[in-house]
Amino acid sequence: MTSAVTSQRTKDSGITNRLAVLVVGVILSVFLWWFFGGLGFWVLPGFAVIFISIGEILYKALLRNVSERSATLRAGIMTFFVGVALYVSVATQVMLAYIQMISLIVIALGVIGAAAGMFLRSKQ
Amino acid sequence: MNGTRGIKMAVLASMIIVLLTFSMFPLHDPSSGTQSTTYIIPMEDWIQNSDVNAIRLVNTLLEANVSVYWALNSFSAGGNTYPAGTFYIPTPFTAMNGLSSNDLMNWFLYQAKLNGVWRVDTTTDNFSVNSKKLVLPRIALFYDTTTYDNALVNYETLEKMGFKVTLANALDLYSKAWNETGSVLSQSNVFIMPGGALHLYAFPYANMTQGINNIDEFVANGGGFLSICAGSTEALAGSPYTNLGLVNASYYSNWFVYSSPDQGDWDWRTLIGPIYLNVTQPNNPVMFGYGQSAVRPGYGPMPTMYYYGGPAFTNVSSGVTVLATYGAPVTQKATAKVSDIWGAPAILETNYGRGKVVTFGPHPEWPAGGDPGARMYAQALYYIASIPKPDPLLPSPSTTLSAGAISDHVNAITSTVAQIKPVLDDITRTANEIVNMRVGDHYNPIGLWYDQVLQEYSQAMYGQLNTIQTDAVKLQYEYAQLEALKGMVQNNPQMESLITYSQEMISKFFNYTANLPLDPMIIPSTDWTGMGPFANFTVADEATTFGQLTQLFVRVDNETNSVLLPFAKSYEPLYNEFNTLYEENLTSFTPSINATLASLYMNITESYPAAGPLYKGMDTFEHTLDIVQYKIDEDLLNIQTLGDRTMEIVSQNNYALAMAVGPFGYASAQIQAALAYPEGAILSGS
Repeated sequence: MTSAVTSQRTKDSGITNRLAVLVVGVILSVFLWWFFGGLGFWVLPGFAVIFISIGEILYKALLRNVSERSATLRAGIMTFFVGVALYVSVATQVMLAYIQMISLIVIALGVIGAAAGMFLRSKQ
Repeated sequence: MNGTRGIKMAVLASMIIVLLTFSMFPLHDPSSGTQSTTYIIPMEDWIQNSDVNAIRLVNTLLEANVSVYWALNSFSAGGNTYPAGTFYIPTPFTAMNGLSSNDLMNWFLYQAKLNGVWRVDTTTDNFSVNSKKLVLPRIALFYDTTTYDNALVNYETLEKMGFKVTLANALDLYSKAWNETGSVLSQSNVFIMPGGALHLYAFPYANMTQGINNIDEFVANGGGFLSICAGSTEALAGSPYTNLGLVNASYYSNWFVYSSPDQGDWDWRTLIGPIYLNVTQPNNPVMFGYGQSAVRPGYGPMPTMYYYGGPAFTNVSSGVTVLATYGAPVTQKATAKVSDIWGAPAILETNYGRGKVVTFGPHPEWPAGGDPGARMYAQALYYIASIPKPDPLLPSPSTTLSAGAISDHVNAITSTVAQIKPVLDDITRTANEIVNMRVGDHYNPIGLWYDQVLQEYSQAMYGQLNTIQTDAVKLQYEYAQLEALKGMVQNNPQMESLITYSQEMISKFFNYTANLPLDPMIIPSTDWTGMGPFANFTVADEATTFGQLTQLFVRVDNETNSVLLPFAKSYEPLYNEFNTLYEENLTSFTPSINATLASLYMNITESYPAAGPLYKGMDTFEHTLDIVQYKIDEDLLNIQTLGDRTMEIVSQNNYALAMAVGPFGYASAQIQAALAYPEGAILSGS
């Protein structure tokens, strides 16, 4: 009982930390958006922080009721959100279309990895 | 457990929906819509914008026949206030090759982000401000004996700012009338006389008058004239030497005359180096952004500019405007003879007939393309350019090469560069060795000087070869990408024409490297100094292809090692003897030392007909430098210019094609070309 409560509190503090990082990512993205003038590949560092933080929060939220960790699930979610960050960053530069295509592949790999992590048994 | 499974399914489903949405509805660059938008480039936002890079981007728009305006007064728009000197581009418009303003300005904004121009404001406000609609300067740059490395540095500065330059020699200027079809001046609207020496003496005596008349008529009929340093002295009607008579002013010419034939011209050399300029007309377009109210660091209250023996103007008539004066030294300790420089006019502006003239005493082009003079140089060009001229670099139809032919050219260029580089390395090392002897000191009247010119050229050519090779590899990739796009635009004539145009331009670049024009400069085997004889240089020795340049580099390497280095070594003891005596004379003057020093100086600097060691040395170096300047580097610079223009056109057209085929189509073409030419893909980076 005590260890379960401790575990839950640990998870809650982890989510809190990730929320703080998310806020940092938002601030960074807003600054980059303002300084370089709009949405573009230059906002990638900020978006990467935001979306990876979202991925971490989502992963920890998914584990609230699950005692098993899954490295595959975590890797899949992270890969997915890295791909989303990349896609959104370059989406308004058609000259970087090849990066847009690469980001879709990364997103797809993330989906596959997440699915594998969800439905295949794996332990950390 | 079922709840957990449900959550997992929901998350997975969401991820799949995101993937499908991105795949089926790809995002791309926004449209500006139907509302008229004006794009404004804040030139004084020094944190977010590089002004030099902004000028380069403005020139790419001007090359594409876009109307760009230069505000001559401050104005307000979109809630911001902009100072005079701001550039703005109203839309909509249709540019060269039918490019829409939406496509071209999105391309422009993307290039701006890559090139340190991070702030471009947009507004839909209607505003009115006194402006000049910019005319792209089509520049003829004097490139002949007497320009030495000055023309090279001018080219580099202009190239960095996106100005395309036609190199003009004396023959170009006197052999055809200024307005004769095919003459350099008829294709240009600005003529630049760089520094170095008195350039009118590069003309054969019998043709000097014709050359002067052509330049004068060119300016009188609306052409712009810009001159720097020694070039500026020749614009002055009050010059004691042969001059163009464009500006009613004189200069302190006595500074450059020996007070005594055995003493040397030490005085003006005490001024060499950066000096502070006092901007007297900050509201003149040439001076926008400079002076007391300057915002950019280094542009005020007194910007610096490099002085190297240029004119300090005098007797400036009322019809001539003084834009700046020589304000104060940075490190110089001027001798009494030249102390009048402080407060003397340094930059002048006037009209001559229907043309405008700007004359610089110091050098706005040094350092090459850098702060703080480059923008002033560009503004002077924009100010004096008034007659639109067509682009001389446009492609010729029916010269399109096949992919295989392009590969052959790329291989030839790559292998040639690989052969040249070790030879050029040796030339540079030898030039460095000569320079390190310190017998070429510019502060010393008996300094050889040309050793540093050789060093500068050799270092510059290394960069030029790299640029040409990189351009060749990139253009091979771009050509393949265009081939891949052809199948995607079969029912779109405009897009097909863009592909054809780009491929013609790429072909023109490679065809030029295989058909280099001959320069008319004669390289003699002997001259009046009695040095040599050098190996004969005949038409057969000329390079007509890029690959043939290798042998010219070998020739220069041989001359540098077998003639120039031994001469410098033989000159070194004499140079050191003179300097030792000179120092002794300064510290403990005696009539006998002074007499010995004077006699030694006369022997070293003896001129025509029996040349002393100084002239022997300078003319010996000039022989090799003539081969470098006219038989090698002129070709490299022209190839580089053509490469720059080709890359601009291909890049602009690529954007329109990408928007037409969509990001997935364009990515497909990029990947196909990258698989065939990965090095070009990496270098290109879109």
